Amino acid sequence: MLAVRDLTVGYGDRTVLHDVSFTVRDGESVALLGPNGSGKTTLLRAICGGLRPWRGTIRLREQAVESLRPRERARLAAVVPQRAECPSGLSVRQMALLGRYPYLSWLGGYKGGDYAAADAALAAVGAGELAMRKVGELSGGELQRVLLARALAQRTPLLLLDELAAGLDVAREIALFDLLERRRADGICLVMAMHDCNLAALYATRIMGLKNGRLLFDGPVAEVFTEKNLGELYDIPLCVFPHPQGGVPQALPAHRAGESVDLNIYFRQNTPI
Amino acid sequence: MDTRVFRILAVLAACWLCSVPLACLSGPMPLSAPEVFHALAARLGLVDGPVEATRLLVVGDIRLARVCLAALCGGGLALAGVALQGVLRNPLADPFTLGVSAGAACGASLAIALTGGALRVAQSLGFSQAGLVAASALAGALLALFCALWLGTGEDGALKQERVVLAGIAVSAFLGAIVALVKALHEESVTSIVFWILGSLQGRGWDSLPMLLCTLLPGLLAVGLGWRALDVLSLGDEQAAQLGLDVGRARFWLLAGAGCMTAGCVAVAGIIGFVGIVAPHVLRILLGPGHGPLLTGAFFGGGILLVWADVLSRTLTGGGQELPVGVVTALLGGPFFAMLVRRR
Repeated sequence: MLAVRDLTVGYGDRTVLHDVSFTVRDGESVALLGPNGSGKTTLLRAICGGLRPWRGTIRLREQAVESLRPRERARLAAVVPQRAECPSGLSVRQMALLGRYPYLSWLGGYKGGDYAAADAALAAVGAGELAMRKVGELSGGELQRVLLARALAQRTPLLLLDELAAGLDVAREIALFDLLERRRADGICLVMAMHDCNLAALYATRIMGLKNGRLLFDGPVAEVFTEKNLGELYDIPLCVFPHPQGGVPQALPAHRAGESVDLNIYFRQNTPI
Repeated sequence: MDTRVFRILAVLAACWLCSVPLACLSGPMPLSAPEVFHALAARLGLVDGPVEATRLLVVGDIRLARVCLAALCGGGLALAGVALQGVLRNPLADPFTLGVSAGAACGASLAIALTGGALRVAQSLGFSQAGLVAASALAGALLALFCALWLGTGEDGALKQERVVLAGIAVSAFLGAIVALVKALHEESVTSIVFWILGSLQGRGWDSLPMLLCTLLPGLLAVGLGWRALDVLSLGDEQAAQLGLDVGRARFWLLAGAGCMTAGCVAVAGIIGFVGIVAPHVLRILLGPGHGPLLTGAFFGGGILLVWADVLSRTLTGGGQELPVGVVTALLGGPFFAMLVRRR
């Protein structure tokens, strides 16, 4: 589905990604982990054609991304952006309908099938009752769901999700990732930039660690979700343990003891903090 | 489209249709309503029977032509306003943002100031004074549009919105200086230039129609086909590209279409301000931000606005004296717009 080879790209004269290579097959769900500024969003941008590679290639279904026309590209890959600017007057339904733009004919408007796809997508993310609300009146989490609905309405074989979980409560988060998991089982391919490594371990089939624009590790959850890998990725000690149900690896920060040692030093020296 | 939006559009279209015959009622020649309607019907070939020749000429040619031109120009300017505001994602943009008005003013003032040999050459080519001014204004407007689009396109071939706005400002400033220069060097034409710039439909007849349609129709086509692109563009360049829009190309065609449309309107009627900004804003409040209904509504709304502003411009002072219609739209539009802004 997606093949990235030796990708080097950046902004201005600042290189953000260095020689990144990987391939993603249909039905795979890849979590992209990494600290802030490690290049996760840049990678997603490049995959959807928003940034032209300085070096290397990106291929969607065996076709180079920059050789695809924008409409063809939008029928292959849909994006849920992280910080989306939205015109506030648009209704939620109109917003979801814009996901059908790549399917419009040269002259035609949105037809019954497009409305049905948009409504189905809204219902799938649990935003059916928001349909007539204005986008500007939504909470962050609601907007996030509407943006996902728009991407689902695009009916693409590849979904690029940038921080989908941001601003969602736990119940919504789980509901949306369950939904995505079902879509993945149907053969869709997911690439998700995430901060919550535990959610990644629960829902991804594969994890990639991105640090300073380079791939640190890449592999199935069980193989790469280790204290060594994650510790190196985030530069803090983490302890990894199996989830009480199912045994999927989970991680928690392991530096509490270290902090208290530091505090003791302060107390001994009798200096106010 | 929901029923409320559809109803508003139907009302606007009906008002637009009614405005044309009703606006023909006013004029310096005293005629009763039945006389006017009868003459109109006769002009359109709807009734047989003899109609007084002068009446047919006054109503069927002078008045009807002027009202139709006002309806088309108003509609064109409002439509171009919607397109410009959408493409540039700036509520303050108007049809003149690209410097089209300055180009038209420059062309018109050069033609007005034309004397001596050059004028005789133009006349020998079959141009009347008014026709020469209009043709020259159109040429200036299209040239300014071309310059703004060319300057706004970067080395990478993409039309960036900030760059287009800046290019428009540069073009406007330069051409505005030429107008000022003409005024300074050729004092006897100052009054005509000023009057032309304020915008008026005085004395415009059916002979202006071909020129207007030649620019209005391609523009209408480009902008009319672009309504879906305008909706997607309102999300910003990045999301628009992710949704499958070729942003640079869409922006070019929308700007070129809107500019072309504006050029025709300005060449025929002078620089009529406020129609292109007031009508889109009022309609956006009524119809919401979807560009399909908005563009349709703007065509009718702008037409209605300019038809009645033109009626006021020729009746307010009385005695055959006329106000420039641009002054009327600004005098009415200014306070109305201010109230609207305050109430929101």
